Amino acid sequence: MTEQELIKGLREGDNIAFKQLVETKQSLVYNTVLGLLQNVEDSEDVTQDVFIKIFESIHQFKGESALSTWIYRVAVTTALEFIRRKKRKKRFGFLSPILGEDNEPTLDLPDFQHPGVELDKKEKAAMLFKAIEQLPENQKVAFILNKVEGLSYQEVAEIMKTSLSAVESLLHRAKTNLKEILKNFNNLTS
Amino acid sequence: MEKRYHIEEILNSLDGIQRAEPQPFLFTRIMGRMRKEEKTADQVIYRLITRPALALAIGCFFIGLNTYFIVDRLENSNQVSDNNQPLAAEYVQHNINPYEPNEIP
Repeated sequence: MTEQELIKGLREGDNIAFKQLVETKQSLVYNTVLGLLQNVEDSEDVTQDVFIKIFESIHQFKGESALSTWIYRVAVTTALEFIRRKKRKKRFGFLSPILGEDNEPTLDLPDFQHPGVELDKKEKAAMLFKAIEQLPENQKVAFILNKVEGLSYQEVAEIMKTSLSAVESLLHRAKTNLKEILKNFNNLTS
Repeated sequence: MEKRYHIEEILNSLDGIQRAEPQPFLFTRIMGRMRKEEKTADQVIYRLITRPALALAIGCFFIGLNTYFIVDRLENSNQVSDNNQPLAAEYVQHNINPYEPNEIP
């Protein structure tokens, strides 16, 4: 099935087209979400959310960019929304009995161990992910897309709907900030 | 003794990272969730309107609305009677009884 046929099938609500989309793009969505959320269980849930969102809002895809670019955008937006919601829940957790929200645990999770990192780099990668968490949203997105997803600056720019120079600047600032954050971590030599 | 790393080493620790894989049968789980969400759409509305904060807010809104209309009506009725005062006085002034003889100055 070509990309055009896939999009047409999705617009018609075809389950076979949807199944193909999930099978071909699950790695893309899951890895992007995992890099941003740094939690395996949450990433599984958010990946499902992303695909449901894609299926329900495929009519909003105008074809101005590649389907993958649009899917990346949906994945990033959904993951960031999830992070914001979680932070809000944590901040206003004392109001949950009044608001009638589910009492999900909002505790800080232990250091994230990405399943794809080589064994001898696990500890260092965990420190890096901890530092990435402290970056501003747009720097974090640019860094994850470039370093974890391995996308080029041009592809990152298309996903973030910004210019190439803006992405270069974002990544430069992200690296500077990461160095500062890592310097402040204990037991480090520069 | 705890390990110490150079910052550059940490920054490069994601080089050569492998792709992670989600749990198998993702499509089946997504379809199951979509079906479940369809079923629970009514339950979501019920849960939303029965939230204590929302119920309280709706209650306060209607009490406020009632209070506003009651106060507004009271004010209007006072104004109407105030506006009628000069008209009534004028009516009395011009209302000459034809059966009463005019006073001869």
